[in-house]
Amino acid sequence: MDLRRVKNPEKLMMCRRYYLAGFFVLPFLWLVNGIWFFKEAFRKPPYTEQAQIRSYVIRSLIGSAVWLAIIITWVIIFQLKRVSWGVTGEMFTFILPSGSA
Amino acid sequence: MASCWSGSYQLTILILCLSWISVNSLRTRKKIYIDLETQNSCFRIMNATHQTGCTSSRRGNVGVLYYLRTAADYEWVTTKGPNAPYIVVMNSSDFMGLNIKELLKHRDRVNGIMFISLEENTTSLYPEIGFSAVDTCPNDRSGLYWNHKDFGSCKKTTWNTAGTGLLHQDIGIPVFSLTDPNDVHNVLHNCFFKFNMKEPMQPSTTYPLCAAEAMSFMVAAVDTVTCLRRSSRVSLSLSGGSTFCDPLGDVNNHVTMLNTPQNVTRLNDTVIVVGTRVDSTSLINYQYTAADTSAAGIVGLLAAMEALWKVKDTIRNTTGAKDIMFAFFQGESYDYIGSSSMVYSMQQGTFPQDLDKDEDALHLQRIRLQHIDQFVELNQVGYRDESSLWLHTDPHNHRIVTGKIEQMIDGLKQAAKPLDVSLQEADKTQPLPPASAQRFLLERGNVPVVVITDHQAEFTNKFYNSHLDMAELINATDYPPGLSDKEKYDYVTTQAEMLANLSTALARYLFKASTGLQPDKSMEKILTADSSTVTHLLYCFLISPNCEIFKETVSPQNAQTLEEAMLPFPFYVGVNSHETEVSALISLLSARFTGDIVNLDQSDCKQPNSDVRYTYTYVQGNVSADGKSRTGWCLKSLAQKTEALSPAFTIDGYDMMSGQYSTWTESRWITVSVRLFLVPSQQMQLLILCTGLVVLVLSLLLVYLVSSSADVVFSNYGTRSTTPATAAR
Amino acid sequence: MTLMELFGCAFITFGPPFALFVFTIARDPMRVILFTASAFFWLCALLLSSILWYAVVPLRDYLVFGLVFSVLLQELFRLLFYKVLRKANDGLLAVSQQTTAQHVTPKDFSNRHIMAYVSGLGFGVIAGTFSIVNVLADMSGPGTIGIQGDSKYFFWTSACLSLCIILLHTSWGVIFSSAMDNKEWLRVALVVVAHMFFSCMTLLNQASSSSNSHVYLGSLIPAFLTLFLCGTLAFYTAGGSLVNLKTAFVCRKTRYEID
Repeated sequence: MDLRRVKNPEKLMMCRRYYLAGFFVLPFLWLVNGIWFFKEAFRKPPYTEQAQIRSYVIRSLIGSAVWLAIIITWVIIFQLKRVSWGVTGEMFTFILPSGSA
Repeated sequence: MASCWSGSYQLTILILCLSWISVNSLRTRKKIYIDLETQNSCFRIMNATHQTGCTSSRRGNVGVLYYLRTAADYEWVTTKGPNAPYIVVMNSSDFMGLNIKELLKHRDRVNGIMFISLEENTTSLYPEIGFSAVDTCPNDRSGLYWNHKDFGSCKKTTWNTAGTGLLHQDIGIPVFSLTDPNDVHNVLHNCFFKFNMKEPMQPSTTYPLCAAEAMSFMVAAVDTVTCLRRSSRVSLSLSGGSTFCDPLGDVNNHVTMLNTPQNVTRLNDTVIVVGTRVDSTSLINYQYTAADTSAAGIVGLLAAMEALWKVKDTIRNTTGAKDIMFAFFQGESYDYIGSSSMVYSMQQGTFPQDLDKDEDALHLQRIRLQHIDQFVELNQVGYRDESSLWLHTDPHNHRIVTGKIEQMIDGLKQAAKPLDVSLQEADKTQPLPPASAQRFLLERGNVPVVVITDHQAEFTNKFYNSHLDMAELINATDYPPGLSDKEKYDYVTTQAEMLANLSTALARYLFKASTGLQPDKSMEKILTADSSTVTHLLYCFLISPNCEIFKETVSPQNAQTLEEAMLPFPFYVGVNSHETEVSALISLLSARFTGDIVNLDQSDCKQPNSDVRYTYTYVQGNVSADGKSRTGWCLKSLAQKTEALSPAFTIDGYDMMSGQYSTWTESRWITVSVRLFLVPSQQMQLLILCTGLVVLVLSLLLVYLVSSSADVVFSNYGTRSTTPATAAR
Repeated sequence: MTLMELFGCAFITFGPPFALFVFTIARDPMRVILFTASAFFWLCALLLSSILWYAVVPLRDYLVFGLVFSVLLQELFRLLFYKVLRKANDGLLAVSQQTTAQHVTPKDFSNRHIMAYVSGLGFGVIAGTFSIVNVLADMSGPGTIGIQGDSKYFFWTSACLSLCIILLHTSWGVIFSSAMDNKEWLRVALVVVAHMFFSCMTLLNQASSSSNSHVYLGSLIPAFLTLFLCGTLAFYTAGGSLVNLKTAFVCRKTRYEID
């Protein structure tokens, strides 16, 4: 969709909708929201809805950053500890490595 | 990857067309690599707690090839040489525990081991101090004396002094054996001496050097428990689940003298068990020669069986004669798989046949542990210590059934005496050597057990459970010079002579033990093992399976397989999904030696539904009078096969950690290969890379320049063209 | 690992065509389609020649046979593609005008050399790819050539010859199409002969491949000589000249100086 052709109130609605949808464990949606509306929020000349859009964009970006941190932490922990967790570690594993623990 | 290209004619023709490749080698790969034929690799096995054996990395281990001959060479490879990692090549005679352990200490520099074992060159074949793949106290953990305060861990007698324990060590790098003269030539003369040792005694250090890639990647890991769990996991991937390892196992063979059906009560202490072990092992796949470790025992037992069954009617007609069971235990090298499995099914009441399956048909009556009257085991009988065989007993067992054991020993000695077979008692305070009987004693301590072996204390065989346990070392190949294969097959070797006498003694002893009758002169004459059968069997098991007695005794369907067999069949137990050739042949030979030929043709040679005691086996038979076709025999016998799979894998909820039963599994693998090639110098590689980069950057620059001013550069266009020169801009 | 060799050779072979593709083809969808289509025609030629090679069993072992017919078939398909292009010219023009809003004749259709160049490059890239890809695939392993006594310049030669064939096909595309337009049969013949010469020359490598000498590189000199001649001819055919070249770069220089 071309944001240039969308009216400002609609933009706000969309941005808000994406932001709310992100709470259903959809961090990637937050990221998309943040990037997509970034220009609208920070680069465009001021308009009425901008402040709200900006807050949604910022929150979305923070949310995705938090998620990223969580995921990275988990990946690191998992990679380091999978073997020592034994059976539990295996249950978390989708593709088992062949030929090693 | 690349291999998917081959076979495409399009590509082939293209390469031909624009070819900078010669016609006879279509792939560049052929010019880069010399593929070795060898498949004789060490592989990974696992028990409940450990992984042992060899593996390469996923893409194969690569190292500069180095041929180890002197101590200086070892130093060069492990510390000095600048071109690490190395893959070392050594003579078979140097392939021994100490050397290998030294190399394994430097696994960062030694990336693989290959050893040359050409049979022609016997001087460099045998290490002086011996070699055995298993440790110095084989099967200690699963035997009678585990944790025993006097006998545990071989405190009294270290049986296998040549033991290296390599089979039960996580070697972690690939180990290959080279048995093909071509491979050896390629490794030494097309690779090592040509590129890595250009001047004698002066290792080359400048590239290009010749290197090898040893590939034997094992997919299973950690231990049996982990591997089985992973194999049985419900797979989420589309390609389905994968099995990483398989339990070791095969079949036990046994024959009983009497056909006691299930409606006749079997009295306690009425079955004489004569057993031997079938399998052997070694570090290297396909090289499971087992001349002394098990083949001599198998042949000895088969010959005794043949002799004894000649008087089967006398025994069967004697009232009160005890039953005699000949048993061949498979998988004994791996914590007594066969014997523990037989003992377990005896305890479960499913031995030899599961009566509950079909109650109407006639089955053989159950044999339980309490039915066993005595147990005679033929262990290693090839290398006689002080030209004598030794009778071993368990001290505790000896104490509780002294009378019976003394009686057995006397009987055996008496039977052996006129045959020039020396039988002596080993030290009574010494425990039993590793033997299948231990598993029986574990469950019933008062079975009188005598183990006949060739060693008084430690093993006389320096190559127990190894690739070097060769026929020639037990004098089974002492042919006069110039014999053809046919003549060799018929020539009675020294070992065959000795073994035949032992079999005769055993047969006569069993006759007396069963019937209680002393065989008279004429009976003794019948009760004599045929030395030509013995020599035939030794030849067939140890030298070439493509021999007359095997041909006569296989089914027509398997004749082709036998025809194509070039090497002796391996004595390794293998994985349980596959029946080994050795077991199959023992079963067929037992059927032949104990069965009657019934007049049925191939399609009718089947077990009737009403009586399942007998096995009907159709085999090719001897060559008929016209000399072309074979007669075909339908053999009706009491030869039986029972599963030799460790109960650990069949008992529901068995605790793998309990150590009660064998838990060995073998890893699966995808490819096993070795290839030789040159590694280029770093400079050459860098030069090519830099040239490539320069070309790339230059052309990007040039094209950008020209294309951005294309209008000017090609401004003359259209002067020659038919199109009117109407430039867009 | 000879990963460095692998990338070095790949860059040598595909560096120049990559540059050409990026700067002259990639941004115009019409040219990309043309490029792909011509590659497809080359593949058809390959298919036919392999069928022929496979069918004529007695001559299967003779390299020369397969080679000669393959060259002829490739040239035949070059002709076919040329014919198809000329037939499709109007249609393509219509399509391309629909998409571009401006009602100006696109340069591609006014200057036929561009189409010839694009199709030539398509022909070349696929030919070059097929000739080097097996070598590259085998190169990715740990070893380099030489254990059988082959020349260590094998990879160099392969990469350079593949580059040659790519660029040669490009020039031949330009020369061939212009010659057909102007009915200059001599030039058409020249293209076929040059192709044949180049391919047959590579047969010589076989003879010298076992000697570990620089002779192996010898075939590169005539190859690049052919490339130079054909390239120059194509350059002039397409309307280039030394004077133009000089003007272009001198102008540019002065322009920069003014900046």
